[in-house]
Amino acid sequence: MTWQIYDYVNSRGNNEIKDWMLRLQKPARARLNVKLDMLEKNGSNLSTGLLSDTKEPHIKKIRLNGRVAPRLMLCKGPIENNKEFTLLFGAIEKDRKLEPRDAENRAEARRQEIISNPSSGRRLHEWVTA
Amino acid sequence: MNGLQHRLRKEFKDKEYAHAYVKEFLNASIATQIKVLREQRGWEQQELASITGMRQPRISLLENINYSMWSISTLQKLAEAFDVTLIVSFETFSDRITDMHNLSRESLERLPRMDDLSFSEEPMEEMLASTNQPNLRLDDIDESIVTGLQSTPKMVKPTLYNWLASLRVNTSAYSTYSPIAA
Repeated sequence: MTWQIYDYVNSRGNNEIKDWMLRLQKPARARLNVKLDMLEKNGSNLSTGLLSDTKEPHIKKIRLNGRVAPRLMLCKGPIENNKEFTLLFGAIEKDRKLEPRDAENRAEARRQEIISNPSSGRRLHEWVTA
Repeated sequence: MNGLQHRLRKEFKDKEYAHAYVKEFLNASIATQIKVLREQRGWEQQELASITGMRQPRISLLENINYSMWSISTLQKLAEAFDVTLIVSFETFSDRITDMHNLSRESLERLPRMDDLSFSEEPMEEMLASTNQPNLRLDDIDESIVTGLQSTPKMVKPTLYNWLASLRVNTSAYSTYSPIAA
């Protein structure tokens, strides 16, 4: 079963996930896209470690290893929980500390925003490639 | 060609991007296949740990797609535990695109040795059954039976089709069907 992936879009209509991915270095973007491809193809149950927990119960993260490591916060749903994932917030982890520190809270705030306004708070994922 | 394959073909024109992608995919697919093979055999991580002589946390680590420190000797140990073969080979980028396109639990499952080898006798038995001569044994098969089978177009399983081809039988009268779709 294929899953649908959405990106968070802010009130001005900017795709914040796309903007964040554009700022990543090319190899990191490639590695992140592998995980997004796997998520889209098989969801999160086939592969262990594809999604990691955060302190926010509804927020998961995709992580890449490295000293400066991208962390992409996302959630299942939040509209159709068995069909979709929504990418919510891009952060980095440096020396085991998230930047920005409140990335997980901000991802949860965006999730709430989408629940209250599903039609304008997100759009289908835009692949940022090489 | 679907959207994913088309996108990857385009992305892989960039060498740096392509190599970063396939390296990450290699790590993720090995880890995922270890988990899938263990689950296919109905084993807990502890059971696989006992068979391989590793500790359970080590198995947990190897099944995590973020692991990247593979050694051939560890993979060989796992291959022996699963009773399958390990192949390490250099491949093309289009092969990787196909692998990503096909990635699923089913595409990663592998039969253990004895199930795999006994399967190779099934086409013959299936073929005998289809001749309406139920008393025939494998030893009785001769060219006339094969010739008879050739005379009627049939839908056959891919395994039987391949078996016929291996005997250099003219398989043009046959077409295969997918057992999954059937």
